[in-house]
Amino acid sequence: MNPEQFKLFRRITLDYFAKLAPREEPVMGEPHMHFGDPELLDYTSLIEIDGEYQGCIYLSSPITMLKDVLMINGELRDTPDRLKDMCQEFSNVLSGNASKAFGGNWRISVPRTLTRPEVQALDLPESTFVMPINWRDNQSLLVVGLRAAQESA
Amino acid sequence: MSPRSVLPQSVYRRTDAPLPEGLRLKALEWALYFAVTGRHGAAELGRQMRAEASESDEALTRLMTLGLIEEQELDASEYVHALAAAGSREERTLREFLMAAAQPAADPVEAKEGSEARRAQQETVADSATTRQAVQTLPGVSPRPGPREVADITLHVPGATPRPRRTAPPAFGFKPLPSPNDDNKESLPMSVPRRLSLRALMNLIESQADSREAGQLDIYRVFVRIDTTLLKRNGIVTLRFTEDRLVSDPELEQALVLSLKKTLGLNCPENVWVEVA
Repeated sequence: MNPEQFKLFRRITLDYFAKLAPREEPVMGEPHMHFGDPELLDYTSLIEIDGEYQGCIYLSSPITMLKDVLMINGELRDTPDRLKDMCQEFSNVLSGNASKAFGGNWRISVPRTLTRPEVQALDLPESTFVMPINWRDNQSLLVVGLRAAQESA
Repeated sequence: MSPRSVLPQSVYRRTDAPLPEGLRLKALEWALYFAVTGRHGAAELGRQMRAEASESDEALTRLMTLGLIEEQELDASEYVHALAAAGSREERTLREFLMAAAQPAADPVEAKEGSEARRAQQETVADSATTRQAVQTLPGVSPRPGPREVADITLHVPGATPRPRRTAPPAFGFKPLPSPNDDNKESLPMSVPRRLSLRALMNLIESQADSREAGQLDIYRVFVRIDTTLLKRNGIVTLRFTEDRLVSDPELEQALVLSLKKTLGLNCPENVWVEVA
C-alpha cells in the first residue's frame, strides 16, 4: 500500500459522502492508530485485502448516519434490514474504491456488511489506522487494518 | 605470636570475625583489608596500593595477627596462577608488556625486574641453582633446562657457548585489578533515566517521507510490527500522530527500534530519547 494509493482511496471515499449532500461536505478528522480490539460502531462494511500485507479495510458507521443516508435516498423506514441494506451500499462503494485505488497489487474480497457482534467475532488485525469521517453531526470510521507479512504467515 | 612470612603469591581473604570495636588501622592496612577477597596475591595487592613490598608485607602480617584476614589455601593450578601474577612490581602498559615479552635476552625491561620479581621466583631460582650444581657434577645427565635456567647458565658459566635466551611466556593473573585511576561505581554520577519519545520517533519517520500522509502510513507500518500486547501493557491503545508518549519499557523500546530498522531501514538516533528528571 503506497501513499498515493492510500490517498486516492481516502479521497474517493470522502467524495462519496460529498455527493450525498453537496452542501454538507464531509470533514476528515484527525487520524490515529488503534491497538487491540477494533474500534467499531453499529454497522460495518468490510473488505479483506491481501498483498504486501494481509488485512482489511472497513467503514464503521452509527445508526444515525445510516438513517441520514436513507433519508437522503427517500427511504423513511429505518428498520434493521433497511439499515443493513444501506450499509451494504457503503460496502459496495468501499469495495469499488479499494479496487480503483489499490489496483492489481492487492486481492480484494467480496464486501461484507456486518453488525458489531458479527465483526467482533472475526479475527481482525489488532493494529489499525483509523480515519474519522465527520458528516452531518455524525462520525464514521474508515479503518485500515494490516498485519505484517511474517505475522500473517 | 610468631611473625608470619608473606610470599608474593600468597592469597588472602577476610575472616568471618567481626571488626573489633574501636579498631584502628593504618590506611594501607584498611586498604588491604578491604582489598583481600581471596582472588589476588599479596604482590598484586601491594602493586595496586603502590606500596613497597616491605610495607604491604608488614600490613598483611598485622592484619593476620589481628585475625582479620587469613591465608587462603590454593590448589596447584591456583598457586601457579598466583605465582605468575606475583610478577614484577614495575607498572607497564600493555604495549610495554607485549614488547618485553617479544624482546630477546638483553631486554632492558627484563633487566629492570627488581628484587621483588626475583623474590617471586626465589624458590624456582634457588631450586634451579641447586639443579645447576647437580647438573655440573653429574656427568652424562643433561636435564632440559627451563627458560630461567638457560639464562643463568649463559651468565654464570665462563666459556659456555652463548645461546639465545628464551623469554618466559607472559604471566597472567587471576583477574586484572582495575587501574588505581579508574573510577569506581560509587564515584560515578547517577545515570539520568531516558525514555523513548514516540512523538520524536514519529517526527523522524515523517521527516523522511514525501508527504504527511506518506509519513503517517510509514508510522503505521512501523507500529504494525509491534506486538499490541506490548503496546497495551504500556497504556498505548490509541495513538494520534501528533501526541507524545514516553516509553520506559525496554522491551517496547527495542521492538520499536527493530521495527523502524526492519520496516524503513532507519536507525534510531539519540535525539529520539529524552532525559527524564
